[in-house]
Parts: sequence; C-alpha cells; structure tokens
Amino acid sequence: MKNRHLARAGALAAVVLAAGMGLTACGGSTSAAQSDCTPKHQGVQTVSPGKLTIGVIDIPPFSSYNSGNPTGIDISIVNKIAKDECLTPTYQQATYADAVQSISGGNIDLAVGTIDATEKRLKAGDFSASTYLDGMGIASKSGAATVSDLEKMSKVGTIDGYLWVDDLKKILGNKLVTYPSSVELKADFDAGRIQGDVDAYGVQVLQFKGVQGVTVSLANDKPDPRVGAITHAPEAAFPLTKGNTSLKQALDDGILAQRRDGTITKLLTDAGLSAGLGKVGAQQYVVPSS
Amino acid sequence: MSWLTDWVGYLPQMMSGLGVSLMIAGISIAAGYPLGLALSLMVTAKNLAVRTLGLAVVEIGRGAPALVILYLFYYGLPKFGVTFGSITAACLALTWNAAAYSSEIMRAGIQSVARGQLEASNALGLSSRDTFFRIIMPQGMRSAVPGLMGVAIQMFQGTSLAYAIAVPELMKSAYNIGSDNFNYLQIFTLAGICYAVISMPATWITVFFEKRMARHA
Repeated sequence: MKNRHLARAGALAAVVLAAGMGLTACGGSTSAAQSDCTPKHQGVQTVSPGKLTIGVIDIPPFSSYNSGNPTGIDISIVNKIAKDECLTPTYQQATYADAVQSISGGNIDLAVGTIDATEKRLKAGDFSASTYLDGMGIASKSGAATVSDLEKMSKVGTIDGYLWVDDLKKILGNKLVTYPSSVELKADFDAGRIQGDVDAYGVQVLQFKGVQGVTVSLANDKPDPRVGAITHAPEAAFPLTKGNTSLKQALDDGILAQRRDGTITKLLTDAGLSAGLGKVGAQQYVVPSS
Repeated sequence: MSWLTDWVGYLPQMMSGLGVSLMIAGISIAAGYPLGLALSLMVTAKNLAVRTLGLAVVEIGRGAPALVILYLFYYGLPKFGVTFGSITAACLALTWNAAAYSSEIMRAGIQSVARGQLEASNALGLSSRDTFFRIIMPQGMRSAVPGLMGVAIQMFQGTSLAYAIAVPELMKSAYNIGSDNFNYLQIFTLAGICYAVISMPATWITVFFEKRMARHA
C-alpha cells in the first residue's frame, strides 16, 4: 500500500518535473530567440528589463488603447523601435494628466499620443525626435478655414493642453470653451452648443469622415500671425524619463530612420492624413515659452 | 520653495475656478435641500403613486454616479431638444444629487422624532400642518443638520466632476495649468489644498454640531 503511494507520488513528481522541464525548454527557446536578436543600441535602459512600457493616450488615429491591443500611427512607430531594440512592447492606458507623471514615477518608459515638445514641458521630461507635425484643424458646418472665420462664430470649442489655446483665448475671449478631450468637444459640437470644433487635424479627419455638411480644414494652410501654433506648427514626439539618454538615443535613431525611409509619411497617408504632416524640421522645433 | 513661488503665480487662476466651484455648490445646496425635504415627504406619503415617484427620483439620484447625471443633463438632453449651458447643467445635476441624498437624511430625521410628540400635539388639538411645521420639523431637522452639512461638503467636492462638461471650476483651472507644463502633481496638490481649505473647516463645524446634538439628545 505504502509502496503504491510512493509509486504514485513518484509518477506525479516525474510528470511535474517533465512539465517543468518542458516549460523551461519553452522559456529557453524564447530566451534563445531573444538572444538571437541583436539590438541596434546596446544597454537601453527601461523600467522593466527586456520590455518597453508604453503609456497609450487615446487619440485616434495616432494612438488608441483598444482594450490592450493598441493601434495607430504612434503605436506602429514605437513597435518598430521596440522590435529593433529586441524589447517586448507592453502597454498601459494613459491620459495627458497622468502620462508624464507616470514617466517620472518610473511606471512607464514613454508615452504616445501626439504630445508636442515645448520648452515648459522639457523641464518635466525629455522628448524623442519629432515624429510628425501637429496641425490645427477646424471643423464646422459653415466651412470655416481660418481664425478670422472662428471670430464670426458665437461659440468655439477646443481641448485643454493644445498649444493654440492661449492665443485663441486672447482672440476669442469668452467665445472659446475648452474641453478635457475630443470626445466631449465633439459631443458639444453635435449638440449644437458650439459652431467651431478646433482639434488636432488628424483626429478630425477621422471623426468627421463621411459626416455630411461638416468641413474639416487644416488651419496651418492659411496661418494667422496671431496664433503661434499655426504659423509654426508644433512637432509631436514621445516624452520619456528625463536623463534616460540610452532610451532617447534609441528612440531618436528609430524615428529618424522611419522618417528617412518614408515609413511615417506612409502611416500618415494610410490614415487618410496629408503627407505634408510628415515634413518636420531637420532640427526639432521646440515651442518656446510665451 | 520653487513650488511655493509657482503656486503664488497659479493662485489667481485657481481662485477664479474656486469661485465657480463655490457658486455651483451653493446653488445646488440651496435648491437641493428644499427639494430634498419635498422628496422625503413624498417617500413617506400614504399615496402609492406619490411614494413611488418620490422613491424613483431619490433612488436614481443616489444610485447613479454624479458624473453620469452630469453627462445626462449636458449631453443627453440636447437629443430631446433641451439644451442647457454647462454651469446650468452642472447646477441641475448636482441639485438632483443633493436632493436625493438630503431627502434620506431628512426622512431619517423626521422619523426619529418620538411618537409621543405627535400624540401630545394631537392631544393639544394642533392641526396636522401645525404639528408638522411646529413640532416634527424643528426636532427632525435638528438631528438632520450634521448629515446635511456632510452632504454640503460632498456637493462642494462633487463640483470637481463638472470639469467633464467644460465648466471652468477649480479642477479645470488645475488641468489648464497642468497641461501647459506637465507639472500635474504640483498643480493637483495645490487644487487639493484649495479643496481642503474649504472642506476641513466645514468638517470641523459638522463635528461640533454633532457633539452639540449629542449633548442635547
């Protein structure tokens, strides 16, 4: 009886051991695959070794968390860089309010979602090389295309944090209403409370695709000298931990390579956006403090 | 120290937001409490239809998160042709919230009045109206005061949700500043201090009242 128990225990132990060895073998093969991968840059520092932890802000078509399967232009760019550096991309949902805080707190390596490089923001973190231009879009039923057209409206809406907000506030005063995100802005535009919807051009192209009677114009095409953000379009980039030079170098080189080989321009045009948005300056334009 | 210097610079914008928060809280409390009293009477009414209606209003007001009610008033009503401004929508939504919570506190206060008081007023030949307004209400409301003060603090803090419907209140001022320089921790700490400066003394007053009520119980 005792022997039978021992035999069963032995068999169980053998199965567990075999399963363990099998798992180890699987892990080993993954490790082998990773060891086969040669990163373009050695010693890239990330918050979790072997992983690139990315905070994803919802701003389609640039980035959408999409229930843990992120998609978008920024996601494609960063995935390619992660692959080149033999890092496994991992994602977590982020907002503009918490993304940079999460970076400085060591929870994520970088954030994606059309974040423009500015002098003030550079005090809180570093920015990668620029990915594309952040154009200002105007959506309206009246066909407004310029800031002067916005002045003729009774209410205009835009989103907190965009670099044109302060200038528009000076021009439009109380006519300008600001919202936390594109969702609330569009909801109010649909409700008829505002006549002009001022948002990132790329976002509006997607939002109003196929909507009858609404035109979307790129304000940068007819720049108004009173609004700095459209006379010189801000450049989107990925904020990352201040002082992480190894990651910044990897991101910079990865972005420059994708700009040079036309990957970013293709991503923009595939999303239905103007190829012109891919024409960032050779030297990163950092929006100066006003 | 640089935080303190920055905070001084942010204060004017924050104070303007705080003013809007206090105004919304004040309106929703001033309108919510009388409505809460009416609802508490409806909930205890003998008529089934009145009681059911009162219960429905109270339970939706207490059961649905304040943010959902805000969205319904602001983004939902325009679909039915009713469009309010953001501050009006915030006041209406928070009034409903305040009314729903305060009605339960008032109902409990009214029901806590000893039955002997009712019998004594009957024996004195007071009318139902006089019994309610001169005997039941003063005593019931006295015990409801600490709870109502708690609801008032809750309403003030609840005004921060109005940011979602573009009301330029305290949290919106904080977000505006934060999105400019990404120093959200710094600015949210200041916003927290602003809320605490109002809420903490209000809480102490509530505790003081509770102690006084307990002494006279």
